[in-house]
Amino acid sequence: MRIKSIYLQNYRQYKNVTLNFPGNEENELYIFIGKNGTGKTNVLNAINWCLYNDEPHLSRDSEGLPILNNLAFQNAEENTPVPVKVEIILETNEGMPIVFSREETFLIKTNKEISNSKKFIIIKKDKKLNDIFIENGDATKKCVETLVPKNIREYFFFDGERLDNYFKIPGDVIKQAIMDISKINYLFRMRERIENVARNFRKEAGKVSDKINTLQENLENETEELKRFSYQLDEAESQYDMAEKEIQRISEELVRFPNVSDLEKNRLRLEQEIEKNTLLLEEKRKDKANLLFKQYILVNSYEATKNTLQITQQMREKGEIPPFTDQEKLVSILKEDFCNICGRNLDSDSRKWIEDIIKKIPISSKIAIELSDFEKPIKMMYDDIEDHYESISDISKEIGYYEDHIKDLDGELNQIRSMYENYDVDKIRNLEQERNSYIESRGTQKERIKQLKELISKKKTDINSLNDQIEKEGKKNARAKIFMQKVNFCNEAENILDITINQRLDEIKRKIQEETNAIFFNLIWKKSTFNKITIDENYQVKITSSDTNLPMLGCLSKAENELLALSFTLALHNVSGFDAPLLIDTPVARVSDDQRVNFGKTLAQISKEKQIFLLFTPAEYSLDIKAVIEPTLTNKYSFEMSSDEKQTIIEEIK
Amino acid sequence: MTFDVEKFYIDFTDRAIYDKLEKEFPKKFTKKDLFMFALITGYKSKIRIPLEKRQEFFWASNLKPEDEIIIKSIAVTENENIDILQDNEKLIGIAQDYARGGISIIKKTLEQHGSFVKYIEKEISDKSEEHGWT
Repeated sequence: MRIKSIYLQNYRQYKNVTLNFPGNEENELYIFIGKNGTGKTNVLNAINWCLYNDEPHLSRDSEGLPILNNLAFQNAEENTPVPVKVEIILETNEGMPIVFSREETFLIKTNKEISNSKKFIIIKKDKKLNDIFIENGDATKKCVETLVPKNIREYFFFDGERLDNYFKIPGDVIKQAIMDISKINYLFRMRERIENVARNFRKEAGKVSDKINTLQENLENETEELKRFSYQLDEAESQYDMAEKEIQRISEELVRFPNVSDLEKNRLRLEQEIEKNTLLLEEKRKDKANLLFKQYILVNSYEATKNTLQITQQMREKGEIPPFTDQEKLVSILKEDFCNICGRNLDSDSRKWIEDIIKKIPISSKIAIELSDFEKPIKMMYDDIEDHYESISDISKEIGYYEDHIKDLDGELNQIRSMYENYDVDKIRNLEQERNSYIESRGTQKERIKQLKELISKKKTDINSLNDQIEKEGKKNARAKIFMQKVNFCNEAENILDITINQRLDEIKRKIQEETNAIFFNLIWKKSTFNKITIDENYQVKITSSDTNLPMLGCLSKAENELLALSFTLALHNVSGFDAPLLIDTPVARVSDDQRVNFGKTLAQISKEKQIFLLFTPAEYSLDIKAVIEPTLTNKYSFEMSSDEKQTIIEEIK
Repeated sequence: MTFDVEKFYIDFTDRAIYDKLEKEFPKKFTKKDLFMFALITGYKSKIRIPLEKRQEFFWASNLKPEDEIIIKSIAVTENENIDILQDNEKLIGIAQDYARGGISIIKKTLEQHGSFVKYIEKEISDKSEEHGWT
């Protein structure tokens, strides 16, 4: 399928433009070149508007502006209808044209455009080449969905700028689109019909047996519940799938940033540790100051106390400080003539000896006694001096340790603070919170899926049991038996359809995976970096590294990511039988300089199999890109604003 | 060992410096401790300044035996005569005069260095080297 022409009438910048795409036997590659604001992207919007009645690629400048061309608006007469029309002519591979034409007319009233009527027509050819007109309503929608499903339009209308979101399309949406495109839905519809036929046969059987009727009613109820559970399971799986994708998306985004939660925990820990160590340091400083105070007094009084000690020692040497003698006691012994120390009466020798001692004892001065009392405390003070020095040295070491430790902790804290300065912390924090809520949601859905699967399994057992009972009852009644045989036949047919559907889906998925690998590895310029691409049952694309075999989707360059998206798209087209042109807006916008040429070559190669439209700004369409694309080019169009800047003029560049 | 007096005195004008000195140290020291500190500071610099306007500062009973020993040792060393130990008035006078001299040094040091703790730390370290203390 290819786009044969696009006609734009009064659509935004386009007053009256027809773009014909003549085709080429070898390849079909068309280039649109125009500065920003000339309306290239609005060609993409025009296609979307025509097919789906929306404009997803509107720039901020165009948002809110009327769809009606400015010049047409100014030239319009009051109350005269002015049409806005986009007509696309597609051509099937068999050469049959299909016309999609959307038109909205406006009436100009008091300088305002008012929508007057809307019309959407599809014109197809039947087998006899007669025109079939499909107008408005569900029929047109269905026709569009069959040819170019809206859900997966991102797979044929690329926007290079939005490439980051490319693999974020939910798997069930892709799966549904594949079923639409590959006509597997017909099998589902067939299955539904057979189910209805079987139900009717059961009802007929119920009419001839009350028991079958009751069982049948139970079966209907159980089947309804099974459907409800299946629907809930689909919902839960879809939610799970979405949470999984969001977690992956946020994680990929967060890879570039530090983990703020960890940083905050670390910051808090460091601040607490600094506070704790600062308190300990202060305590040690207080202890040291206290010791210094005491030591100051002791060391500065040392000379004076030492002098006192020397005087005391000299006096002792001179005998001025005697050993302790109790003079009163000696006098009392003499008086009583009895020694109460050795317990005997004094004889004359003893008496004389005591009298001599009393005479010899000089009356010790109060001063001498006081001085002798100083000796011991002074020596203790000297011991204190030694001890204090030791303690001061120990405390100083501890203070040094705490100071160094606090310095290290401060260094770590400053590193974290500088990280905070370099990043938008609020944004990171929000992303982390968002990811946490998705992780929570994923957990909840996982649990729900498990419960629903159990419920479904039980329900299926109950349904089988009811079917068995109905069959058994059917055998008892000759008339019912006939209906039950038909029911059995339908059941078998349903089973075969289920197997066929699953086989076909597996086959498509497997082929898409094989085809994506084949295309990607044929086109990729760094062939040894990647190992293989896998597509899981939810159509999640994963690419693994050849070194580590680990997933590396988040590590791909923009060009590699775009190429992977292209490969997947082409595989999807090839395998599912979906055959739409590719329109890529700003194809190299996110591709780094060194890979632009490679990417250009790839696109040129793809154009041999598929009609491709590439939208460039003159700057993007650089000489190197031009060199690889021009040899395969079919046509090139320039987009330029008219001198009054009210419409875009498109011209083919020869 | 006790002094035969009730109270020790400082000069009225020194009160503010004692308050400042008190704030220099994280631990709360008593007035007696601060007096001893000032006394030692005055003694080591041999600066004695007689009190002019006396103000009660602390009770003599707050002195510990080692404080008394220091006061008396200073008096003995200063007088080169142990008889001074019998003269309470002189002993206390010498202590109060040195404390006043010490407070004048502390005042200057606080003005010059800002911190007295750092200053005494260095001095204690120097003394350690001088006397071979560990």
